Order: sequence, then C-alpha cells, then structure tokens
Amino acid sequence: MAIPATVLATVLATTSEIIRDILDEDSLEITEQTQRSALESWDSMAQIQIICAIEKDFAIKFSLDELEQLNQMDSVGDVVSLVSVKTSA
Amino acid sequence: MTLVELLESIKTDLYGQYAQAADLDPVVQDYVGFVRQVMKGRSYNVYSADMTLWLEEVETRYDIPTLKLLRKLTLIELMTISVEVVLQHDMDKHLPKSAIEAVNNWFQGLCRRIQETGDHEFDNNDLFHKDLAIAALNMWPSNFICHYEPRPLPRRSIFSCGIRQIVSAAQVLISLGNRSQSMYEVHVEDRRLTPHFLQDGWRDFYLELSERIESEPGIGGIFGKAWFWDASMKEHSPRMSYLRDLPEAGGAVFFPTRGVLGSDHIALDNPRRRRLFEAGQYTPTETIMIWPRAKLLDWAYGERVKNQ
Repeated sequence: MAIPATVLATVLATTSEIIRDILDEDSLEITEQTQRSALESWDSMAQIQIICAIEKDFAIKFSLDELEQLNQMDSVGDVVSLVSVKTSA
Repeated sequence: MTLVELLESIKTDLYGQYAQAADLDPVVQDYVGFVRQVMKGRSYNVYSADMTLWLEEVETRYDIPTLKLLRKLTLIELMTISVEVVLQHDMDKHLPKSAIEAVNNWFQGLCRRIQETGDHEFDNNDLFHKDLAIAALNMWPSNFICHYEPRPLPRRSIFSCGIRQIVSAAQVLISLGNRSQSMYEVHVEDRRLTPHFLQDGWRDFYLELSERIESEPGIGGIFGKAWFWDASMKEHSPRMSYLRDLPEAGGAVFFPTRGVLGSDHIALDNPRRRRLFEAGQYTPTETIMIWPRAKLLDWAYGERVKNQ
C-alpha cells in the first residue's frame, strides 16, 4: 500500500523537528536524503533518544525487529517510511 | 493461561513440530544439569572447562536447525524448573513483588520469542548465554536496563590501579565486611537499550534493585564493569554523563581497571571518541562501579520521598 505524500511530509516535518531538538542543532536542514552517518552528533545515545521521542510523538511502539531495522538505517527517508507505515496501520 | 501452562504448551508444540525433539531429550537434560549445577555462582559467560568441552562436542554433532531446537528446549526446561521450584522457594523468602513480576515478564517474553522466532534468534552468542542464565535464575531479570547475578566483588580488579585506589578500595572493602562476597553484579541488556538506556531506565532499575536488596539483608550492594562509567566520559561524551552522575550522587564509588580495551571496542563506534582515540586523547577504560548497600538504600529512600 502506497503511503500518501501528505502523510510522508507530515512525518518528515515532525521527525526533523525531533532530530534538530535532540542533536541541539536548530539550523540543521533535514531532508529525506539526510544521512545519520554524516552527522557526528547523531551517535548511539542520540539514536535512542530520537527513537523514544518518535514513539512518544507518534504514539507508536517499535518491535525489537523494527528497532534493529532503525539502527541499520542511515537515511532519514527510510526512518520516515517506516514511521509512516506504522502510523497508517 | 498460566506461565506453567504456556511452557507446557510450547513444549508440546515443539515435540509435535520436530521429529528429532524426542531424541534430543537426554542432551537437553545434560544441558539443564550443566546450567543449574555447574553454572550456578559463576558469571553467566564463563563456562567451566567440562561444560565448554561438552558444548563443543554437541555443536559438532548437530546441524544448525537442530542446535537451535536444542537451545529452545533447554530454555523451556530451565524456565519450567525455575517457575516450579526456584521461584516458589524464593517467594517464600518474601521477595519483593517487582522481582517476581520481572521474572514473569521476562519468561513471557522469552516464550514469545521461542514461538515466533526468526532466523537470527537462539544462536550461540552472548544474548543466548544471558537467556540461559536467566531461564535458570542464575541471573535475575529486572523490568528495566540491566539484569543482575549474585557474585563476589572482584577484589583483584579494584586493587589493580595505583596506590590512591588501593586506599579507597580498602575503605570500601572494610565497610562492606563479609558482605563483599555477596553482591549483585549488573549487566546491561542490549535488547532493552531503547528506551531503558536513558536516565529514567537506569533510575528505575536502581530503584527496583534497591527493593530486592532491602529484602535480602546479607547482600552487600551492587557492582558492575563498563566503559561508560569512566570519569573522562563527562568531558568526551557529556550526553552520557548521567550514567555516572546518577549512582555517584547516591554514594557509588568508581575504580578504573588496568585492562586495555582494544581499538575495536564499542566505545569507539562513536565518531567523536574514535577521533579523540586516534589523536591519543582518549582511551576506552573499563571502570568498576560499586554501590554499597547502605548508600543505595539511602538514595532509593530519598528518590521515593522526592516522588511522593
């Protein structure tokens, strides 16, 4: 099932806000192409904080497998896709 | 369905699903015997020479799917004994409700994983060794970031790093007296990093463990070994400083150990620490945290009052 573009855009906007807030970089421009590995401050601690904030803001709960997937993902676009699928379910 | 019924039903399913399950029965019993008798009182990942030899022989005798089945059957058998014997016996000793709940929650979760397992589960790795120790209740699960196992304080490690450390280590040992032989060693559970590695998960863990310790007057306190308790983390990774600040504010003491951690250590997965390491400005150092009983209980009391 294709996720509507409006949902993807909303999830991207909220996720970007979370990432900026946790990395404490207000001016950071985040797109779907933004890569975690390119941001030094996005370390494993930040990753845990970001995932927890996403779960809270979107009222979702990731399974262990999904957490594993999230930890393997490098691009914000992949994170947004997974969150969009979960919020649309 | 009660936990005992759930365990019985999973066992029946596994025997129905796999023809070789019945043939594995004697091996399962040997495995259970090793874990319950030989591993009791040992660190969860330090196997005896006998058990290592036996495991090597078993690993060469069977193919991977059969080994995974063997591990699942062993876990089921250990949990069944733990629920029927160990837990009942320990409940009679007035264990706090949180400790019993934590075991029930972990066992339910492990049952779920056995039923729904993917290919990556039940390999012979550190996570399985933890599952094995917990199923036998050689190690106890909590509801939060760490598990804990009864261990003596490792005197040699805390005396290994300089004269100043020897004096403070001696003070800790004197204050603990004989109870330094009966401590709980804490181990981080990697499957619970999100969200419990954050500050709340650690605080809740220490609070839960304080309830357990309060019910056991013979336990001297808790200790653990980790790179993230190193004092230099405050400077290099300030976002992780709560890991040390929290127990330190409650009276825990820290001793760096002399052991050298290699360049492939997990602490160096972080790009900033890797850069500092390569510039010679940071070396991952394993540090022992000791939180003596009285201090831990005082801290927990203060936290509870604060939260009321």
